[in-house]
Amino acid sequence: MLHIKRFLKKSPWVLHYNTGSCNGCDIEILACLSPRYDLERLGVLNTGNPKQADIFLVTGPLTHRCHDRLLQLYSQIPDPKVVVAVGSCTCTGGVFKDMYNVNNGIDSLIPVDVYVPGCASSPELIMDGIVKALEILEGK
Amino acid sequence: MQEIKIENLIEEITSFYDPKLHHFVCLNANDLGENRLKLQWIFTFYNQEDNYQIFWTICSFDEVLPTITKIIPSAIMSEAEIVDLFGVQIKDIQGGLYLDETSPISPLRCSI
Amino acid sequence: MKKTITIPLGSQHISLLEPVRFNFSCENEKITDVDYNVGFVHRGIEKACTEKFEYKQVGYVVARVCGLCAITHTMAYTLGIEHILNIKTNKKIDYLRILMLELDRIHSHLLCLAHTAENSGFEGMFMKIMGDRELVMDIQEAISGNRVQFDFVCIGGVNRDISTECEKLAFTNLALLDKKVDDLIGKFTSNWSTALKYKNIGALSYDDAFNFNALGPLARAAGAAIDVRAESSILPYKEVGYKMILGQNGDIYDRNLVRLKEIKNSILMCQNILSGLTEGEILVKFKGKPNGESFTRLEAPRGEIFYYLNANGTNMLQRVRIKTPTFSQIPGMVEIFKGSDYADAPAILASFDPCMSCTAK
Repeated sequence: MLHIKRFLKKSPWVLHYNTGSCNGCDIEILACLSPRYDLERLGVLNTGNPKQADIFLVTGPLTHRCHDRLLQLYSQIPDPKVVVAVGSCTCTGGVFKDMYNVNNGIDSLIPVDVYVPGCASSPELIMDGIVKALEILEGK
Repeated sequence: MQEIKIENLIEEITSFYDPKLHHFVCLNANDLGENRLKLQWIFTFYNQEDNYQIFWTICSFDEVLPTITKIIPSAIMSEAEIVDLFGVQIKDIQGGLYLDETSPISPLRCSI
Repeated sequence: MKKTITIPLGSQHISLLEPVRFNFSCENEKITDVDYNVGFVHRGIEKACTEKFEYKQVGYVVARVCGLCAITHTMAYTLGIEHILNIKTNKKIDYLRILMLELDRIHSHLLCLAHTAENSGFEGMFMKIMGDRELVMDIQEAISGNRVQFDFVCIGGVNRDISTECEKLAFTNLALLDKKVDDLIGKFTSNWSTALKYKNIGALSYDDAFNFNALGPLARAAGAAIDVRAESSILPYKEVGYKMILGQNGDIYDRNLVRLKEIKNSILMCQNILSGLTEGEILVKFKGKPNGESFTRLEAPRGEIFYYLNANGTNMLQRVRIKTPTFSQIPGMVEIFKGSDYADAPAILASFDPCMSCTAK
């Protein structure tokens, strides 16, 4: 019997999508992949294809135009999948709360497993969130 | 600061603007209420310190404004922005740069 | 036989940090037309600045327009509101502000170079530059307390003073980085994947730089001397050793080199500021409410940033207009894309260093 979940945990691939954040969390995600923090030692690779991804990193308060794209990307990621909301504005809307073109956080549209706070989230926090996501991925 | 009439906009800008000397910053709009909209075309001079040349006019929301995109290509962004955010009409400029069907209509207007 | 096919890039793409959509119409390999959609991240900050937040809070809100040039946005807003309130800051505050602006420019340029290297298929170079970039991030964290969104500037001054430990760390890291940038200049002039392959690719001519209102490194790589730091006297850039850096051909190769040389210049400015810093107040007291209008220009890492403020004597501003560098350069970018090979499109896009959060606000 193939223990697919055991191996899944060893090489979780990450899909990153920005739904209207200020770029701050996005460059911190890039910094996570850089040698100082080196997310790749956990087996994490940044991929551009939702069909190969296991972890969905989302930043931003969900603008109206990103609404349908986020839903499409989410539905294209195969199960099991984990959604990590990076940044205060992704969790609750943060500083962008109640602005006219935003939806106050992505959990109004898709289920979120891990909330990473901070404006902007530091790389340490993002890595913590991904490690947490790996635990959840194993249980799913 | 120089006040101009909206009918003369194209002539004024054509006679003033030289791409090598002047830098077009942006077109700024400001809703003053009571169907009055203040428009400012802001230029600066290359290699001069803090020197602005501002053309301004006050128009109403019902007018169809002329476009200066033929003279200054980069003005298309500013014009598309105020079409979206203020709901004014500019000749040959389409809306939809920022806003979708689910967004509010002309959000920066005081009251409609 | 020529047949036009349309290839989309975005809104979600591995080479993009932010959602932006380009539709390239291609004939064989060549791009003939480009359609753009830049409004994915429009949030409505301009309206919130006039309705939700008081003028003392707006400085921290506009920092969230863009995380890469956050300090430039706060700075431009603060200079505008200080002009209206008639606040005069002392030399020490001005120098500290320039210091953070230049550190921000260094890290933004390094990120852009890393991104260009990645999009040209040189993953190792991306890792190396991102590793070097951490030296600047450390200084920023030590001085301001945060890596990216450092709310360092406030109305009337700055929020934190520099301690002697910070100064020491900054000197060590800047000296280290200076050597690494020298090394990078070598790699970006002689290496095939990052340099020679990109000669005459994505070129903007000297005349087009003026016709399309190009700004920042995009214009300076084409030889056009366009830099707000030289055209504005609000901040004392001339006293700290600012030098205009120009390229010749306006291609990706020149844009990379202009960025690298600007990093060198910024390092020099930071060192000059740190060695000449005096004791003094870091916050000027003020009272009253803003009444009037102001126009402010400032050089962000990507080019000119412009703020129009209109205040009517209450706590709420009447109008905040933000014009960012990428916003007005998009017609110029479209012009460069036309006639290029589709295979080069991601690298050309990365070398523009576009910032969509700035564009859409």
